[in-house]
Amino acid sequence: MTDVGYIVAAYGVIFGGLALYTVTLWRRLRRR
Amino acid sequence: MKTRILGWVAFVAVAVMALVALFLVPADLNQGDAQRIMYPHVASAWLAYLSFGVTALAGICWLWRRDLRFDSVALSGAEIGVMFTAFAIWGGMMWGRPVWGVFWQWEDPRLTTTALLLALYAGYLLLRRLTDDPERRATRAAIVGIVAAVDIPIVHFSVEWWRGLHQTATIGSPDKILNPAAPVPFVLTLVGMVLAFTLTWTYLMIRRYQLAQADLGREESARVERIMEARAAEATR
Repeated sequence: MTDVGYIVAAYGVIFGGLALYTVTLWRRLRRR
Repeated sequence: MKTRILGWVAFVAVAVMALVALFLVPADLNQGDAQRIMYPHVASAWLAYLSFGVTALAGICWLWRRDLRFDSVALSGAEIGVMFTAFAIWGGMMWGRPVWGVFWQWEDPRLTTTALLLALYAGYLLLRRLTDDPERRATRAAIVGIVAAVDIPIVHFSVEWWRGLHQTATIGSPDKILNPAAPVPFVLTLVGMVLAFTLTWTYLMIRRYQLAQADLGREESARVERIMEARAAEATR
């Protein structure tokens, strides 16, 4: 696989960000 | 319960499509493996459009019906749209460096109008924090949300209207839907990723709407409490 650093950075931020936002929403909803 | 099932289905769909995009579909002949970034990049861009479209539509509905549930939908669309716009920009930058040779170019109309879209809706979210009055906040936000949506078609058609670094639509224009400028496995992976992201978007929109409604309820309780305290203080005077 070529350009691994860019691929990891792109997928890491996008999928990691999605996961982080989902967990944050879920936790905020649980506190309400 | 249904929302929870939707959440799990979306999670599995996104995980499967990430594996397909990273390891199953072949690399592009010219762009190499960097082309794999296109799948989440395009899906994020589509959801940014959809989110801000929903925000504008919900803003119109608020101005028309004066029902704060529409404002909660508008807020959900804006917040989630800002996130997906940031993802689209980030993915584009990570793809642009190995393929174009640059992370960013301000002269490119697609890049610049997308950055403007991000700034407009980030501003929308900041504007909402300027007042505690839910109705005033909803009206101001609706106006900004509707006006900012003018940038959505400008972003989309910028690659057709002006010359720049960004390529024209691969499958997104009417003449390319039946004859896409990409091999079938690439198109199928892209469609799969878009569907998986759209499922996730639906789940997030529902949860963010529920949170916005809960926040409205808390705001209303706090407001009633303040009025009661003020009246009690007045009565003891």
